[in-house]
Amino acid sequence: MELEKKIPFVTAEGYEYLVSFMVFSANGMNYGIPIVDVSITLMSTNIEHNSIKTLNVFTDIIDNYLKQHNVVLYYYCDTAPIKMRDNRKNKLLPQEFRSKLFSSMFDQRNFDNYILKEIRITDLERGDHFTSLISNISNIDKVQLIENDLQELNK
Amino acid sequence: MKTQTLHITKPSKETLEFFRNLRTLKEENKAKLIAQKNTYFPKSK
Repeated sequence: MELEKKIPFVTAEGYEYLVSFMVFSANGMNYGIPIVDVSITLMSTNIEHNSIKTLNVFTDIIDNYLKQHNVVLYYYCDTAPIKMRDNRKNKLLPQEFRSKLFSSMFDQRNFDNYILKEIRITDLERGDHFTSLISNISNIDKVQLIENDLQELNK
Repeated sequence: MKTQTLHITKPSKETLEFFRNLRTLKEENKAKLIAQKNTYFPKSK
């Protein structure tokens, strides 16, 4: 089945989003499973504020994709501004907020068949990098291999 | 769901370069997708 997909949808609040799945070359590394980049792109320059309903649509799209394709998805969190509660005690970077949102989207649905790996790379000059890997729990060894390679790159 | 976290607090030059390139690629790809907005969200006539 075709791995690359683009799924447009408009939220109840009127934001136009494109959820896209694109095969990632992973620097030519072979993990025995395709690595697919998932992007959730707001198609305008607005600063979005999304409802739980909208977040559930994102989760459903990703869940459906993972049911149909045996892959490791990776989600790199965008650094563009995002609406956060003004009274939030801990100020978060936009990419950090997206990372937490991404994890909580899946946590709240109690999926027991997935493994989610959050990866944070400290970058004092340009702002930290936040990435998540998500796949079926049966691929935990493949996710571990990717982590091992990352640890190796860091030596 | 099984959630695990990896935080690399002292990244090597290679790791930083890899993730900075990833950010650049993602930003370029985002700009390309937005430029093709009418393909995905055609305006009704």
